[in-house]
Amino acid sequence: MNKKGSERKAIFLTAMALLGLIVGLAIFKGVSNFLDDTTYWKIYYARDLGLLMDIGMAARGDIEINYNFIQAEKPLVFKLKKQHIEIYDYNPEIKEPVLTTFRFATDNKIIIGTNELLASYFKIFFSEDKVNVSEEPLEQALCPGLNTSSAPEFTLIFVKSDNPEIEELIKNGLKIENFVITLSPELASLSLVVQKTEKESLNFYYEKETRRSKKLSCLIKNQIIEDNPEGLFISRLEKIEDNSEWKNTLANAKLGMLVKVNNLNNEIGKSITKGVISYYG
Amino acid sequence: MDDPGDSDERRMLEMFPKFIFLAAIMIIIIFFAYFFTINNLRTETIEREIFFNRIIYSTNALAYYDEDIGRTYLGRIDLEKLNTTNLEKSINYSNNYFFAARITLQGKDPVYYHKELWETLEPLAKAKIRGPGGADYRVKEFRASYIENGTLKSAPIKIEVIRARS
Repeated sequence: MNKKGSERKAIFLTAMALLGLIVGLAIFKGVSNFLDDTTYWKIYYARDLGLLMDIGMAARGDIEINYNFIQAEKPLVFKLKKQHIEIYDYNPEIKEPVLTTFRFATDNKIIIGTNELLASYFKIFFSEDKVNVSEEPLEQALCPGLNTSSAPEFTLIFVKSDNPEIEELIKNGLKIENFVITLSPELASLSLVVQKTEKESLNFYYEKETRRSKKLSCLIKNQIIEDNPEGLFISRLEKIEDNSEWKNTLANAKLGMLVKVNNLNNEIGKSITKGVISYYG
Repeated sequence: MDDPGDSDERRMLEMFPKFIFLAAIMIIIIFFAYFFTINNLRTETIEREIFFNRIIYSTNALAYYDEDIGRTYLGRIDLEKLNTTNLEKSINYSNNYFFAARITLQGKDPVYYHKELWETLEPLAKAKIRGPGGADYRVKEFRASYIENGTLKSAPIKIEVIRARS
């Protein structure tokens, strides 16, 4: 035991163990950031809704159930068919999506109003003779309680939009609150890019700082919902694609957010401004 | 390391920390696999309970419904609805291989929900075969009231349900 080299060996083994621990934790963090549990939630929602159909049709009287898909990180499409539920990931690029289905029993005296919904919130109506589903507007959510406050005079924000009017509107709204507008994303605390999209209602894309991005997108979304309560049915937050033209713009600033809205107008522009202001408030 | 005079036992002892390290890495990998595996959602029990309740309480299944006042009487069954045709119409799955049931009201002939399936699955359920291809059997007995020839009567009713395991 007290031979030459045994002390060095102990130090070496300790270092190896520490290195193994660090590598293990890094892999764990990397994998957990990469994965999401959408598949689990699709199975869960399909079964939950299928069983809800059975229960609703057996119940007496009229029932209205508010349901939501907010646990799934990606938007889901819900199809109510005659004798089963279908749920799949919303992706316009995929022509034949993989369906998660679950059956329920029908009653010959109850009509099933088949429908296809792309919504985070929807209502299910049961009455003595029919079952219907309808989408509901997004509701405000609780945002992460991260401390992101910053004095406006020292907060540089880079703003860009494919609509010059909206860009000017947001810049002026931020200047009124004493934020500093910069033309260089590299110097900015926040790079904000706002675009119109033909796709679903409201998309947020980020490059880094996941929790801060979640908070910012949540605040902007809540503000848009408050100002436009009937306008939005689906919203999602995801990492920006590598081949996106705005990736570097988002990456160069301390925090970057690309907001895509399908009904971009002055009201939405003001709501986005208010959301950014409350983020730094 | 391999000095002259080093015995095999000594080399094994020197390898021991490496085995511990290897074991730790394997535990981490197994932990990852377990932690990130999508857990199975087992809903067989709740499906069976919902099926039971649907037979007993659904207005269009067995429960007595007074159309004049729009009230369904819990615990009272309608003898006119106690037949195979009505049961299969009021609880209709796309695939007839999920559930089979036998309802026996004391003093009456048993009524089946998917009789052919019942006859197929009953031996499997009795044999208690495990795994896919088997069947689960459950029974509920309670006292129910019914109206026969204008008289309110009460008798035990037994509802047996077999669920195909697949």
